Formats: sequence, structure tokens, C-alpha cells
Amino acid sequence: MVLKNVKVCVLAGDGLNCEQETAQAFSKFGVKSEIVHINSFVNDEANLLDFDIFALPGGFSFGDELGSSIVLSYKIKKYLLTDLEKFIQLGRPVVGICNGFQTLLSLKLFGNDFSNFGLVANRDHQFHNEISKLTVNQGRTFWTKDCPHSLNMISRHGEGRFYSSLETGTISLENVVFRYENNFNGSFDSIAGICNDQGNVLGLMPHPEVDIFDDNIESTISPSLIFKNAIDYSLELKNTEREVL
Amino acid sequence: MHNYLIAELVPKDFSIASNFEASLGNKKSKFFEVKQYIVDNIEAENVLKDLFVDPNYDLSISYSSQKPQSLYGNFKTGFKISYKPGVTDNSARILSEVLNEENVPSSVKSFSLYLSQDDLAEDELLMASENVYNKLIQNTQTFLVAENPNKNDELDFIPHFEDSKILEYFSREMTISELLDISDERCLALNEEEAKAILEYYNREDFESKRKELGLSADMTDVELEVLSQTWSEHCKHKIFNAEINYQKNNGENKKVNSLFKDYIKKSTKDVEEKFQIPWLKSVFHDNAGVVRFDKNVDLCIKVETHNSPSALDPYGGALTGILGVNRDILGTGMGAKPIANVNMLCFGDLDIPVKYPHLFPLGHLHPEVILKGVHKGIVDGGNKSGIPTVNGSITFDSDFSGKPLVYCGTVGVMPQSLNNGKDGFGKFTQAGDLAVVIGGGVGADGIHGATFSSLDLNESSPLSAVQIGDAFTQKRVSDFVIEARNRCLFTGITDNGAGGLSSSLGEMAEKTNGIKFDLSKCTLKYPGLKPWEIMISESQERMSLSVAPDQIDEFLKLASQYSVDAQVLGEFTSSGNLEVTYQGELVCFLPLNFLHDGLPKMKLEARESHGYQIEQVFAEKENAADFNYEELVYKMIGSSNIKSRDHFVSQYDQLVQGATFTRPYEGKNRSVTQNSSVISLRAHGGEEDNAISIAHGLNPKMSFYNAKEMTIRSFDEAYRNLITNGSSPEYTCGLDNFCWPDPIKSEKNKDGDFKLGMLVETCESLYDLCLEYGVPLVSGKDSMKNDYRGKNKNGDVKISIKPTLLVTLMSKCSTKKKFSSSFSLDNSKFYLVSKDVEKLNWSLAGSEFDRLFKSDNCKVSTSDISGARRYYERVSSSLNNGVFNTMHDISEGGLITTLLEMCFENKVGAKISFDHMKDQDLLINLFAESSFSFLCGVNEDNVSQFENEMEGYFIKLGQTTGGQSVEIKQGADEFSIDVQKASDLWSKKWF
Repeated sequence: MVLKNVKVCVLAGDGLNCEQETAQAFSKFGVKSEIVHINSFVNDEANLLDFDIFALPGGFSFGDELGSSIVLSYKIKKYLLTDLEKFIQLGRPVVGICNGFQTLLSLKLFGNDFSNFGLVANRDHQFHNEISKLTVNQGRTFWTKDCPHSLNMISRHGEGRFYSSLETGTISLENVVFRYENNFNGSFDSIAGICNDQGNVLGLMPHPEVDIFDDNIESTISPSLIFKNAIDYSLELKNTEREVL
Repeated sequence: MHNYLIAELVPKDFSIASNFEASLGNKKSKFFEVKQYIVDNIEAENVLKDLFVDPNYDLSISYSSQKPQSLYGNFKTGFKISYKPGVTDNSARILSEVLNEENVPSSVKSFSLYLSQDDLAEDELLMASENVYNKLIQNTQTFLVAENPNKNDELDFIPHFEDSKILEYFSREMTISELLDISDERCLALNEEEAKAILEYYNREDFESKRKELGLSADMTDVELEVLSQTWSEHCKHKIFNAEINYQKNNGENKKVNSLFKDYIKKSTKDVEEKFQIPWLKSVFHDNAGVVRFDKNVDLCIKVETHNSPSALDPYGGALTGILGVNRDILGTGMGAKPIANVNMLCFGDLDIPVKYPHLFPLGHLHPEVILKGVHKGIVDGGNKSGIPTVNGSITFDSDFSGKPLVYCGTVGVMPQSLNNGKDGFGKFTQAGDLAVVIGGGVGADGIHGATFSSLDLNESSPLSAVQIGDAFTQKRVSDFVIEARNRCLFTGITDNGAGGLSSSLGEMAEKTNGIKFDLSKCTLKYPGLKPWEIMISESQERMSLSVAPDQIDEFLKLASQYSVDAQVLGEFTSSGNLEVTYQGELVCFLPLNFLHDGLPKMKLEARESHGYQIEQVFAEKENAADFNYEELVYKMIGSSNIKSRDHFVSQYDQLVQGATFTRPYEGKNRSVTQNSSVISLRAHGGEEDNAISIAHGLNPKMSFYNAKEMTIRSFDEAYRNLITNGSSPEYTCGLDNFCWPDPIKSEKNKDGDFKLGMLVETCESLYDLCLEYGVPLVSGKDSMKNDYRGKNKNGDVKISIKPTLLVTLMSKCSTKKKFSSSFSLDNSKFYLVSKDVEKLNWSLAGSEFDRLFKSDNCKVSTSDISGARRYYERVSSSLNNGVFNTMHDISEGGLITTLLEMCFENKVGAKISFDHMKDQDLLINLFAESSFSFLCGVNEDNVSQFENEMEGYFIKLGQTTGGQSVEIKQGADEFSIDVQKASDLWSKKWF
């Protein structure tokens, strides 16, 4: 198979643990996805802007010890945020899944409406491993292009409750991409996933990458479509970038 | 005095805080948790402010010990908990790592404040604290919010050590009994023969002159004595399995066993390999885990361990370290394997024992519910934070496990068949001249004497130092690094640091080159003050030992630093024949390896045939079956602790990380499809496209009450049936044996030890026969031999021994082309009993869950006849894989009726069943017996004739599914009906 000219960077290290299947979820659509240790950015051995798509996978960065994603987002803020902001400005796709979503949210990369939100412990303070039926806000972002209105994904988290202790009356919910049909973790407005205004940064708690080979009968429609969407979009983006040049 | 900085994370809205409700006599009070960190460097403030930016929490920083009251809203009283100095405090360690990287070197201590809105008295607060506090490893302190919640009685960041000599000598002229006294005092678990062998060796002239040459005293150093004791412990050397046993039969005959391990376990593998011409065994019995080849691209390894004693004392830490420990076993197998699946088999005392038997339950012993919850949390964190899916397991309740719980932890790993330099992935290539390197966390005073402690019985004065808390995060970093270093071929050998610490890991690796020399002062310590012997044997977690060629050490160390993994070069492998250890330039241990590894005297033990012997039971009350009708009995059974759904527990495990889980324990939209075994796809791990492995297990301690041989058959056969239901291949199935036994050595204190050893012999004999019949080679195993508790209850002295328990874990090759289910869909209209000996069914209730709960007269034991089992299972497997029947559930705990009900739950299918073809057996037996070789199978109408043709001689017609909401049961004149919804509700009823 000839590889498409799209390079995916999947972050790894410091307790992240879904990097392998996340990389496979992209590479099965014929692109090169590279697993990059976070310290490679710290030591200037890798450059985020060399990549076309950036994925922050799930896991337990720093063991969730001081709160999920607290230390990872601190480290990113220090070593990677400038490049990441540029990356986003260029319109390139960024996805944060589970621990990656927690990280993007604490870095406040989803705009003002969501700046007072965090992902706190599930309502029952337990880790859940279950199939979530999601309602998709179709057409809001290229990530969900051609997705059906309802989609099954598997949730696996202990701290996925989208929550704000502050006044939430005035916020716009336009950028909500996924909602749980059964709001098992007690999230505000059943929110399972959101995007930024530009639509290129997606964050979600459920794991679209888990069923890599679509061979698990439990999910009827494959959520891996979202990875293909990002690749297609990235190819288009690269063409436009070239035209502009 | 230091000036401390107190950082607190106070939720803006306490509804998101972790909380629990405490029962305080006749009232209840709710407690909310607030995390607090005390940092001994006031410069840390700015970093903390940049770090803790969660919008849902206020960060409060103060320097004084007085806290502004407003932060705590309406809270009035509370208590705080912290770890004792020296106990792993993971969140404090991470915070300190962040601060150190920001050039604000700090020691950190973490606290959990639990706040209540009620005005509670001190004794009430202490009572409440018992919900979350373990006095062995933590301190607690109560406070009034209005007064001074941050006054600290003690604020020790690190443990203080008694000032004593760095190195101590023990005279080689002492008597055996003097050495045994030292052994008792230091928890060395030496026996008389061993003490004698040690003293004799130190009095040998050649050893004395060799030591003199090296400038070392002829007396033994404490390091040497500790190394010998750890290496010679039951835990490390499996002395009972290697003992010479005289087995006395009831007919007066004697049988000599040279070594249970060699005569039965190892021999069975060799004989199975020959009999079945097995080409896929790659490495068995000499590495950390057995290695098999079920795939064209990758090899697999599997290992199961136990962590019983630590889990009895600190359930959370015990289970967590158990899991991380067996993960390291896999990481240290061959040239390093990646863990791809965890399994956990747990046995606990019944949850109602302390209430039901207040006078018999041991005083001060942890409540079984506290143990269950702690162990469960340890498994959740151990697997989830390591990124390893927890896919298979079980929870068994039996009264005798209230003496000591069993915590079996297993892991499967995957490795390349050949490394990038062409060498075998399952090999080890350490050479003399290679450097000895240790990676991972620092060494602390935790985990000292774990190996010897677990070789003694548990009692009120069991040592605290053996208990430790794991750090899944550090180990994940280590694990990521090892796999990358392996792929780059940067080391020549690897093993895990487990029981016995460096003395075991480097001591065992040294056997490969026949020698090692290293310097203990090069070890990274968690805090100063440790003595050489402590560094040598500390089992501090998350560490691995490796050999690295000198010309690769720079690249190795560079990669380690890129992965934030601490690595220390301690010394080098030699061919001197000796273990030589120095500390700050001074020789502190000199032991010839042949004495260390082969100088242990063989034990000689007496065993008696167990037929006719009855295990003593402390808790023995049962209800009378005759007091209930059939319906009531069925409902009681389906809701009993050993039958009901474990989804509450397993749904908290991450079963799907790594993206390769094909079949998991509970599936379906209501998660009521009970799968008998779990399937992991190999494709995601570099294997062939549709290739997969299945993992299953079986154990049946209840049967030990009657007959060890039958216990073995039931355990083995159940594991095997669990595999078959997922379409696994009989040609590619390997096994693991894990024995957990009560003390089998007869003594004054342990009068029936010889019978328990007899049961061990009988179990091994039976296991040999099973392996040969089923064609299953054993590839790894472990034993834990002192599962007894001695202490006091309100009636006086009490001893609780577990029932002898053999866990059989099986791994097999299967495919992801087809998925099998244990749940009826509506078109599975006919169902059958499929079993090996349908012509002469001889079921019994003995050892069943029914027998555990109810008194009845149907408990005569008959031993199952295993002949023809392989042929039978091949037939079942081939019909299943040909699609002749597609619903299948093995009949195990609870018997036929609970199996049938479980098959009805997911789709709320009804059924009609008639036992008229089994009318020679009592209806109670037909309903509740847990017989070997048996399945319930659903067959589509279209396949009925093909099924009856292919399975001829192996089935009995039972009935058909219906669209109704009930299961209607009939045998002769007896008829009754069970409501599927009601049964399902009982089955899935909340645990707590």
C-alpha cells in the first residue's frame, strides 16, 4: 500500500497507555503514524510542526496522582504549548482522547465557553468500563463527517464528568460534539466530547480507537470513521496550504 | 525548625469530592475528602500555583498551621490520614519530582483530610476513620475544624533509623539453636537442618582460608546470613515441592516421592510433549514464565503468582504489588515481553462471617469486606494505571478464607520470536564482563523480608516491613523503556526484582556466568540510613535487573534518561564462582554460588493418605435444604455470593486498553452475557491476522473438604471447558498450576500436617494424569504453602487454615473469525446437556455451592473418570467450530439450573426443561450438582439433526427455549417455575 502523505504524531510516555492502538487506528487508513515520547519534545529531538495530525491518547499520565492530567498539562505548557498553539492556528487536526481530552481541557484549548469546566471524578467515584451510546452533533466539525446521529463507543474512565462549579447559564453549547444518551458519569448537559470554534481540536472521553480491527461484535458502527475523517481533511488542508504557497 | 508550606485543594463544590458514609453506632455521618500536601520548601509556592489550575478547585496555600475557617464551609469535625514515614506515598513522590525538576528541591508529604458537618466526638471520628485507614501503614489524627486542623502531631518525611552498626557479624561458633533464635528474631524462617548446613559451611577450612585471603572475617556477616535465608526461603526455593516425601497409604504401603516438582509437574510436561508431539514449547520452568509459540510472528508467555499474606495485612497494597510483581515477571521473561493481559483469581471469607460468628472471628482481623474492597481497588489501579487490560478472573467465597485471603495475579505477555540482532526473544545472553545494572525506583526499608515472611504463618505480630505499596506509574515508565531498549538490543539479559530483592535477582542472573561482583553503595536509595543488608534484600518495587555489554552502556543509560528511568550500574558479571558484594569499598558478602544455590539441605517429610481424613472447619453452620421448596432454593442459589454477577467489580477494570480484547467477562447491552473465557486478538500485538489466544481458569477449594483428587479434576476440567466454549484449539493448550495450601508440615503446632501433605501428593498425581489425558503441558506454576492464621478470638486461641486450593489456568490458541456466546437468542430453540458419560451419569452435590449453603443427604463423593476426555472435547470443539451449535455455557458453580438461567438473562428468554431423561438422579442433584465434563448447549432448529448425529453418545435432550418470561422445570411429578426477571434481579443485585 502506498502511504498517503499525512504524518500523524501520537504522544506517549509518562503513563499514557493507549498510544499503540491510537497509532494503529490512524495507520490502518494508510498513513504513517509515529509514537513520540513526550521527552522527545522536551529535549528538542522532535518538532510538532513536522506533523499533520496530533493525537493525545488515553492513559494515566503521572498516575493521575495529583489529579488527572495536572502534571502532563503543566509539562506541555512548559515545553510544547507554543508549537501546539501554532499547530492549531494552522488548522491542523488535534484530538485528545480520555486523558488526552483532560489535558487539552486543562490547557484551555477549547475557547472561553469551556474555560470554567474540568473533568472531575464520575458521579459514583468509580472507574467505568462500558458501552456508551452517543448522540452526535452532526456537521459541527470535519471529525464527525458522515457519522450517524447515534454512535456506540466504549467509555473507560474514572474521571470523565464534564463539570463546572461556576455559573454555566450563559455558555454556548454549539461546540458540543458528543453527548451520552445514558449520562452514567453525571456530566453537565451529558457532554462526552467537544471541539473548539475552528472545529479542528476535538476532545472526547470515550475511546473511538479501541476497536482497531472492527472485529468486536459489541459495537455495530465503527467509530474509527473519525480517524479517516481527520486524514481526509488533512490531505485537503495540505493541498490548500500548497496552493496558498 | 523547618518552615513548611501547606497546599490544599479545596473543591468549590463539595459534591464532587470523594466521600463515604460512616456508621457510628445508631447514627450516620458523611465525610468528604480534601487533599493536602505539606512541602518543606517555601520556594515551591509559584510552581504550585502554576500546577494546580483546575477550575473546580481552589488552591489554598498557607505557611502557618492555622487555617482560615471559611474554606471548610459548614464542616465541624474531621480526621486526617497520612502514610507512615517510609511507606510509598505516590502523590507526594510525583509532586516532589515536579518540584525538583523546577529546581525547588523539596520533600513532600500528602494527607487526606476527611471532613464531617456533624459535631462528632473523638471516638466517633476514630471509628469513622476505620473505613479508610490501615493502622499498619498509616497515621491518623482527629481535629475540630474550628480549632486547628493543621496542627500535626508528627511530621516526618522520612523514617528515622536506630543508630546501630553498619555491618554486624555472627559467630560461626554459635550453636544451631542460637542461630535459630537469631532466625526467629530477624524473621529468617530457617529450619534446623538449614542452620546446621550454614554453620558447617562456615567452619570448613577451605572457606575459612578463602575468606582470610580476602581479608574477611571467618564469621558470617549479616548480609550473608540474610542472603542465605532469603534465597533458601520456601518462597524462593519451593522446598516442599522439592522435598523427599514418604507417603503412607491407608493399606500400609509406602510410596517414596523424590520431588513432587520433578516427579509430577516437570515430568508431566515432558511426557505430554512426547505423547502429543508438541512442537510449540519454547521455554518452560527455567525462566520467570513459560514461553509458547501459538503464532507465526510472536511468542507468548504466561505466569500466575499469589500475594496472599501481604493482601491479608494491607489489601490494597498487597494486591497492587502482586499485580505489578507478576507484570515484572513477564517483563523479565526471555529478553523482555510486553504484558498484554492481566487475570485475577480471588478467594475471600464470606462477607457475613464476622456478624454470623462474632465469637469465632479472630480479634483485630480485617473484615472480609474491607479485604475484598481493598484488593479490588488494588487490581483496578494495578491494571488500569499500567495500561494492561484485566480480562479474566473470579471471586470465590468460602468461610475458611477469612483466615487468609487468596490473591492470584496472572499476566500474559507477548515478545518477538527473534530480536533485531537475530537472537531468540525467549533466550538470555548475559556474559562474564557484562555490567550489572538495576533500573527503576529507589530502595527503601519497605518490603524487607517478604520472601521469608510469606514462608511463615500469619499471626498478630507479622512484620509491617513486609508490607508495601506499589507505584504503577514508575513501573509503566520502566516497562516502556525496557521494551524500547529490547527493540534496540541494548542489553544482554534481564530479570525482575521480586522476593529477596537484589539477592535474588542478581544472585540468579549470576548463575548464567557463574559469578558477580557489585557495590551496594551505588544503589539509589529513597532516603539515607539503610544498612547494606537492607539494601541487599529490600523488595522495594518497580525495579528490574539487567546485564549490559560495556560498549553499550552509554547508549543504554542515555535511553533510560530519555524515558525518565533511573538506572544504576552496580558492578559486573564474572566467572569467579562467587557472589561478591561490597559496600563503600568494603567486602560485606562473599558466598560461593554453588553453596548459595545448591547447599540447601533437602527436606524429608511425612505424608499420609487423606482418604478418610476430615478437614477441621471453624465456621460450619448451614441451613436445612428440607426447609425450602424448589423455587426458594433456586432463587437463593442464583443470588448467592458465589453465583451472582461480578459485573460490579469487573466493570471497574479497564478491559479494553491496548485495543485487542475480543471477548471479555460480561457482554451484551445489559452486561448479562457471562463469557466463560476471555479472548485477546494477537493482530494488534504483531501476530497473524485472525489469530488470538483465550485464557480461562478453574478452582474448586470446596471439593477439598471431601477429596483432593476430585478437587483437582474439577478445577482442571472446569478451566478446560471454559476454553472450549470459545472455540479454542485442544492441540494448542498450555497450563499453569498454582497451589495454595495450608501448612503441610506436621509438627506439634500442626498436627494434621501429614494429611495435608498427603492431599498435596494426591493432587500432584491427579494433575499428572489430567495433563496426560487432556494433552496439556504445564509451562509455569507456583506454590504458597503457609496459608494459616493463628490468633485469638473471643473463645480463646483460634487457627484458621484455608482449604487446599489448586488454581488451574489455561491458555489456548483460537480465532477471531467467529464469536461465541453463552446467551440464548430466541431462535436457539432446542437445548441439550452435553457431557462425556451421559450413559452413566453419577452426579453428586458434594463440594457444590448448594452443599456449602445447605445440609442435604446427597453429598457422597464419586471420583470422576477422566478417560476419553480428550476425544470427547475434540468432538465438542469441532462441532462448535463447524457452527452446529452456537450457544454454549459450561455447568459449573450453581449447577445446571443456574447455568440455564444465566443463558436466559440477556435476552429475557424463557425455557421449558424436563429431566425425564435423567430421572435416575434426584431432582436436587439434577438442578444443583456441579459435574465435570458438562455443558448446556443451544441448537438452532435447522441444525438439530446434524447436532444429534455429530454428538451421538454425548448428549441428553433437555428442552427448548420459549418466548415466555419463565423457566418451567419438570421431573416426574415435580413441577415448578422460575421467573426469569426475578432471578435476573437477584443475580445482578447490588453488592454493597
